[in-house]
Order: sequence, then structure tokens, then C-alpha cells
Amino acid sequence: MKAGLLEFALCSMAGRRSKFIFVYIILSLLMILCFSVFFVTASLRAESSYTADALPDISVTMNKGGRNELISTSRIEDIILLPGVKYAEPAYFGLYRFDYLKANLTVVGIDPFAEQYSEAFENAVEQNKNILSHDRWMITGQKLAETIDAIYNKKAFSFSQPDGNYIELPIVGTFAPQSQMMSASAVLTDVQSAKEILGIPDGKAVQISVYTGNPEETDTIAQKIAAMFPDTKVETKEIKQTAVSNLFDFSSGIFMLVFAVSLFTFFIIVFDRASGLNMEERKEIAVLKAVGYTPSDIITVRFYETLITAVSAFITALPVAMFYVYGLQAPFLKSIFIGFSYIRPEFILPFVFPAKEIALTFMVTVPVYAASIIIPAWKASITDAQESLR
Amino acid sequence: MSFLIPDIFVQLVLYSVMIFFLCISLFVGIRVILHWDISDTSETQYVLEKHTYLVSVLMKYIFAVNIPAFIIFIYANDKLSAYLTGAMCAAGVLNATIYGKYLMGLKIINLYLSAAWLTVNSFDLKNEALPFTYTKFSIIPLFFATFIAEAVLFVLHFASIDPTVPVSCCNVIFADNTSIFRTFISDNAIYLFAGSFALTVLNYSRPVIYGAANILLAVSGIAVLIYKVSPYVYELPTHQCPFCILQSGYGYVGYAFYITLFTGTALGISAGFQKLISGIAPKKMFFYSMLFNIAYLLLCAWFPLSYFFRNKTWL
Amino acid sequence: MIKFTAVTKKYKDITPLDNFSMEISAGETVILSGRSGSGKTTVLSLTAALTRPTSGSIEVNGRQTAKLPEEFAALFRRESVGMIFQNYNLLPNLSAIDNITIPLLPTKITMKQQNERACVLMEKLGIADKAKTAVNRLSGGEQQRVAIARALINNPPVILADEPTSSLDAKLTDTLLEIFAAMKAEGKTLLIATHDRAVAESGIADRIIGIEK
Ligand SMILES: Nc1ncnc2c1ncn2[C@@H]1O[C@H](COP(=O)(O)OP(=O)(O)OP(=O)(O)O)[C@@H](O)[C@H]1O
Ligand SMILES: [Mg+2]
Repeated sequence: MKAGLLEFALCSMAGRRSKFIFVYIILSLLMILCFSVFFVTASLRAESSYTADALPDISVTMNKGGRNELISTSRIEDIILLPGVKYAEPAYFGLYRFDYLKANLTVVGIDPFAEQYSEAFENAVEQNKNILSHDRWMITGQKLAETIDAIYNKKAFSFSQPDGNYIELPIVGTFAPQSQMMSASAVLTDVQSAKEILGIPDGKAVQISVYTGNPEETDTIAQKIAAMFPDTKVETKEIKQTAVSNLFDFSSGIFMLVFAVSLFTFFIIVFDRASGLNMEERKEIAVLKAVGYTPSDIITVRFYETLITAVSAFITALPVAMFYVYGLQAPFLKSIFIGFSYIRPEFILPFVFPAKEIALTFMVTVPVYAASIIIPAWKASITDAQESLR
Repeated sequence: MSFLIPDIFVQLVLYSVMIFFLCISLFVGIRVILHWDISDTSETQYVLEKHTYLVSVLMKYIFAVNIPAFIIFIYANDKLSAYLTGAMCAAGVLNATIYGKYLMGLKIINLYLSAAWLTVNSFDLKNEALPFTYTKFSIIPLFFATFIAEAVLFVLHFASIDPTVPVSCCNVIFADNTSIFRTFISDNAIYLFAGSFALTVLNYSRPVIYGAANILLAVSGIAVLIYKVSPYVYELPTHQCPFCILQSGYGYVGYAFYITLFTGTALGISAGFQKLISGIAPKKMFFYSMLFNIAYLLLCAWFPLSYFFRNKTWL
Repeated sequence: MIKFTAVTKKYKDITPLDNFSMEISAGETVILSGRSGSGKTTVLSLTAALTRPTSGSIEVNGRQTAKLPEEFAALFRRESVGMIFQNYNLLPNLSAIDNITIPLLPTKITMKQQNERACVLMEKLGIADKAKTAVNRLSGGEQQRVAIARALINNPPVILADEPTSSLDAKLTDTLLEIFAAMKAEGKTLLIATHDRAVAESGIADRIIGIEK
């Protein structure tokens, strides 16, 4: 690091301000794009790992001709007999359209007397012992409880059943899951109410949740269940999680392609701009060479200019992207990632410190920028000083 | 598909830039091999001289980018282990395809190769007769070939990872004692490491031998890390793995191990090499090489010793 | 100190110097004279190793410079040669003192020492009060003194000046000649390319070398 050359780079940049401001703006925009996509993915990935906590080791659903249908609970008896299966139970959950908020609530029926396999539900039951004394009850995520209280100003909620009747449930408590999505949309209720709200007839369930004693055996057991019931779709927790993760990687991958094209364009533009030296720049370099600057001194000056521009762009882009993603909740981008197709419950992107994403963004933008000025910088450093000084 | 995962994608971008630069270097390299003549005063020779200077800048760039790219590479493999059944860390992923091992090997070789090139280069540029320009440019086609091979293996490796096929991981790969050579190394890792370390210390003032001893130190340093030190990091006698230490569960301490070992030995080897070709021993490089090697030694000793003081027993 | 032996310099179609030889010893002040286009500037550029001769050898300050690679040519220039250009060639965005310290920026000399050296020179040349002024707001004579200070800041043994008086009036020319005389007294080797009679007749030169084709 040569302090003198760094200072000179600053002065020289001030003289050619417009050239650098242009690059600075484009580079900042590129970094904001890259940061935002990465931050949204990181946040959604964290969110999905919190939700995954509620997944059973193996889920068995009915699938005929690509349609999801209800599965009959009688199959539990066959599944539970398989060696290695610790426990199997019917699961009742589904979406309930809450028109007022234009959002869906996730209704989950749970049996407070049974063992809960999800940590979030376990805590919910633990913290709300009073549900045991109620016949019908509901517990909501904290965010949702606040919303309902604000709208209706009472501790109860009326659900309309598919047959048109209403069923009112007292809100006996709240729970605070790590997942923001659950907090904003989950309604835990007793099994009977859940079945009525979601229109599930007796003897049927949405899926059969299977828990195994030994994670090593999960895959084998899943294969056995699939062989036993060819009309079902059998998925392990791992596969479901991978599928979600892949989905995020794929969406961000599409952005990466867009990003790559922009990066390439950026490379070409900077390369082109840096290559074309005007008379003044040519003369400046010639003067430097005449007073004893070596080619590496001149390249060093260029390198400092690049570094200053890149670091300023970085310092600008990081807070802007943070604000866009966590402050504004990434309007537009978030919808692309979680899908416009049907209305998901609204939720806040959980904050995760994106150290890796910051490093990756740095590693993809700065080297490309540096690469685009190397050859022009070298060309400048070997210009014929004698000719420019005539 | 996996090429769209950001970590891998970033590497592809960096590879494209580096290959672009290497093509330019190769082009210049061939012209140097054919036409270089320092005593010639013609304009062509003068232009060629200017181009050799460009190549040395490009090679510096490639070296500077290759180091973080290497870290991203390990990190990406480590992350992919979550998608592969049976893989717990990068070892499982690297072992998941037939290309993984060779890719890893080539990456290390290329890092050392570019470090060596830059060393020759810095020597060449210190003498106004540019005595090593021809030598350093005759290495360029070789480096180009190994680097392209690395890039091809990179693409093949990530293209052929199949998430549905279960793989074996470090506990199987590194505990494999069917090879006599490997068993010998794992049994004697401490002696080999101590031996090479002693060799470097004893030959501190004999630059060329010191450089050569650093090659031994690099190899035995990795061996001792895998077979003797890593179990203490994991606090599990059966867990021998050079990659799991890179995970967050162990505070990313692996990066400290590798950075000190690479810096120390690369400096040592380069310094020895410089002495060999130019007769001048760069004092500072020896000093820093020794400093980093000692840091590595202390780092290696720290985990077993602290385990011993806490549990009053060895693993 | 400066020795040209059978130097030929060709551009694409012109050959300003053909088999040119000269020898200047240390501490000498020499005027280079000749018609416009005769190759005076070319000789100065060759002496400063800013360009290479097509053939022949050049020795300056004990160094063979004809075939120096760029990097070494630059270092040689930094140590051995100070150049004063006809049109000064200052960097217009920078202040006087910043222009003067430019040659020192890549060296290991600290900022404080750099500024001290520049102040001493500006004091000597009578432009100390203009240190912080942007050079494009200085008069021609002041600009030239900034250029001289820049050439002297590395304390080089050889000073090259190209048409130094061409845009100066008689009074400023006299001041400049005084400055040159002071440099000469310090033992510097001076090579001045000029066709200004006033310089030739002032008696500052030990010798006049004429270049004719
Ligand atoms: N870089 C160049 N490319 C092509 N021709 C050049 C170059 N530099 C100088 N020349 C030519 O070489 C000849 C000598 O030029 P030079 O500048 O040395 O003359 P000079 O004696 O300094 O003239 P003046 O008194 O007008 O400054 C001129 O004909 C000029 O056109
Ligand atoms: Mg001239």
C-alpha cells in the first residue's frame, strides 16, 4: 500500500468524476440486485428450516392421477406393524381462507394428550395447559392473535364450515414459533374442530405421519410403505426439505443468469470505457511516466481507483439491500420466490445475518470489475510517453 | 441444475474470467517461446516485452482470485453434503464422483504452481536482463493445460453429482486401512511431521534444503492434521477428517489450519526456489515462512494438549 | 555523463537522427541547437530513456539505457533525470505543491518529508506563496517554475530542458537563466534544447552542439 499513490488516485478520480460516478452507480445497482436475491433466499431458507421442524419423518398422502385426496385412517394399522416404525398417526391440517385479511390461515388439528413430534407444537401445548379443560379450543400464533384481537376485539373466532354453518372457537392461548409464517397464520385446534372446519369426514385424514426410531432406516421404511400402497405418495422429511431448498436455489439460479448477463455487459462497458483514453488522460499518463513512474506504479494507481469505486459501491449497496429486504420486506422479489399462484399467509422475512451472501456478492462483483480494468490499465501503462508529450 | 446454485455459479464466473486471461497468457507465451531474444532491439521484441509484462499482471490476478475461489470451492462442497445422503462434509461430496479427488488434487497443484510462477516472475523482473522470461513462459502452456483440466473436472464433478445415490463419508474414506501406504502414513504421521519440522528448523540458514523440507512439511502437515489432530478437534477418536473442521460446528477452525500451513509452506518453497535460481536468499520470506509454520505447529498442538488437560487422558 | 554512440532513431518514414554521436561530461552545461524538426526533442527523449533508439548505444550517468525494459527505464528516470518541458506539462487539477511532489509519490519517502522538500524548492524559486494554488490559475512564468521544481525534487544529476524560454518574455528569460546558473553551480549536468539566441549568447553554456541532418 503506497499512501501517496492512493491519495493521487483520489485526486485523479476527482478530475474525472463523471467516469467513475457512472461505474459506481452501475456497480451499486448490480450489487443491490445480487445482495437482495441472496438475502431473500437466505431468509426464506431459514424460515423453511423452522417450518421443517413440524414435518414428520415420513408423510404418506393419497395421490390418484396426480390429485391429492384424503387418505383413509385404517391404513395406519398396516403401517404401524412395519418393523422400525415407532409411531404413526393421522394428520389434519389445511388452509382456511380468511377473507378479511385476504390471506390463508393454516389450521392444524392436534391431540393435546398425545406426544407432540414438533417442538413448536410441544411448546404450544406446554404453555397452554388450560386447553385440557376445554372441549373445543384454539391456540394461534402470536402475530395472528394480535391481528384477530385488533379486528374483532374479542378472544374468539368464527370459522365458516364448508357446509355453510359457523363454528366459534375460543382463543385460549397463543404460542410463539420460530417460524414467522407460522406465527402469522397458524391456528392449532382440537382434532374434531379441525375436521369440521376443513371438511374432513370421519375415517379420513389429510396424511398419515410416520415417525421412525432410527433415521438410518427411514428410507427403507418409506420404500416399504410405497410398495404396500401403490396409490400413495410417500415422502421423507429429507426429500421435502431438499425439494424446498432446491426450489430456492433454482429461483435464485434464474436470477443468477440475469445477473451473469448484466455482469458481462458491465464488464464490456467498463472495459470499453477504460480502454478509450482521451487526450487529457493520455497526457497525464505520459507526464507520470516522464517523471519516473513505472508501469506497475501506473497500474497501482488504476487499481486504487477501482478499489475505491468498488468499496464505495459496496458500502452503498449493502444498507440499501438490507433495507429493501428486511425493512420493506422485499416487495416484488418475495412474491417471485414464494409464488404469486395462491395467497400464502403473510409473514415477515426472518432476519439472518447474511455473512456468506455478502462474501459471495463481493467475490462475484469485485473480481469481475477488477478484471475489466486490468487490460486497459496495462495499455495505459505502456503508452508511448514520448509521443503524447510532443 | 447445480450450476445455478450461487456458490457454484460464482466459481463458474471466476473460472470464465481466469480462462480468458490464461488464453491471453498462452498466446503471449507461445510468441515468447518462438521469438524471445533480449539482445534484439527491434520493435517486435519491444512490444513482446510489454506483453510479457501484461502476463505477469494477469497471473497475479489469477493467483489472487484463485485463493478465495478455493475457499468457496471447499465451502460449496461442504454445503452440498446436506443434499447427499450419507455425506456429512466436503469429503463425502468430493468422493461422490470419480472426478472429485483429482479435482481437489489439481486445485492444490495449480495453487502451488501459480505461486511458484509468481516467484520466478518477481525474480525475473528484478534483473534488467530479464533472465528468466523464457523459463517462466515455457511453464505457461503447462499451467494452461493443468488449469483447463481443473476447469473441465470442475464442470464434470458438479454435473455428475447425483443427489439420489447414497455416498460414504469421511469416517469411511479416511478410516480405510486397506492400503499399506495409507496405514503407514496414518501410523507415523506424528513422526513424519515432527521430522520435517525439525528438518526445516535445522536448515533455516540453508535456503534450498529449507525449501525442499517445506514440501515434506506441507504433506506431513496435512497427514498429521487428518489422522492425529482432527480427532481432538472433534473429540472423537474415530472421526478423522480434514473437511469437517471447516464447518461452523467447529468454529471454522479448519480455515485457520489451512491458511497458516499454506502460507508458511508456500513462502518456504518459493524462497528456496528463489535461492536456487537466483542465488539470493530473500530473508524476509524465510522469516515469515518460519513464523507461519510455527503458528501451524502451535495450532496442531493446542487441541490435543487442551483435551489432555481437561480430561487427563489422550484419545 | 551522457554519451551517444552512433545513435540512429527512425520513425515510420522519418529518420531525425542518423548515426549521431556526442559526449557530455558531468557538470557541463550544453545547448542543443538546430532547425525545427532537426531532432532536438528526440535527443532529449532518448537521454531520458522515454523512447528507445533504433540502433546505437546510449550511456547516461554510468548506465546503458538503450535497451532498458520499461520498468527499469522508469526507475532510471526517477533517479537520474529531471525534465522541463516546453509546455510545462503540469497536471491542471492539482495544486502547485501537489504537482511538485508527484515524482515522490511512489517512493518510500514520507508525506511530511515530501512536503518539506517541495517547500524548500518553492522558497528557492520564489513561488512559496503559490503552494496551494491550482496550477491552471498560475501565470506562465510561475507554471514554469513549478515545472522546474518538479524536475529538481528527486535531486537528479542530469537536467533536460526543452525550449525553456519559448513562451517567456525577456525579463522572465533572465530569471530563468539565473536559475540555470544556480543549478550549474550545484554541479548538475544541463542539456538545453533551444534556438533562442538570448540563451546561446548569455554565456551560460560551456558548449553548443548543433544537430544537422
Ligand atoms: N513519435 C513520433 N512519431 C513520428 N514522428 C516523430 C515522432 N517524434 C518526432 N517525430 C518526427 O521527428 C522529427 C524530429 O522531431 P523533434 O521533435 O525531435 O524535432 P525538434 O528539433 O525538437 O523540433 P522543434 O524545434 O520544432 O521542437 C520531426 O520531423 C518529427 O515530426
Ligand atoms: Mg522540439
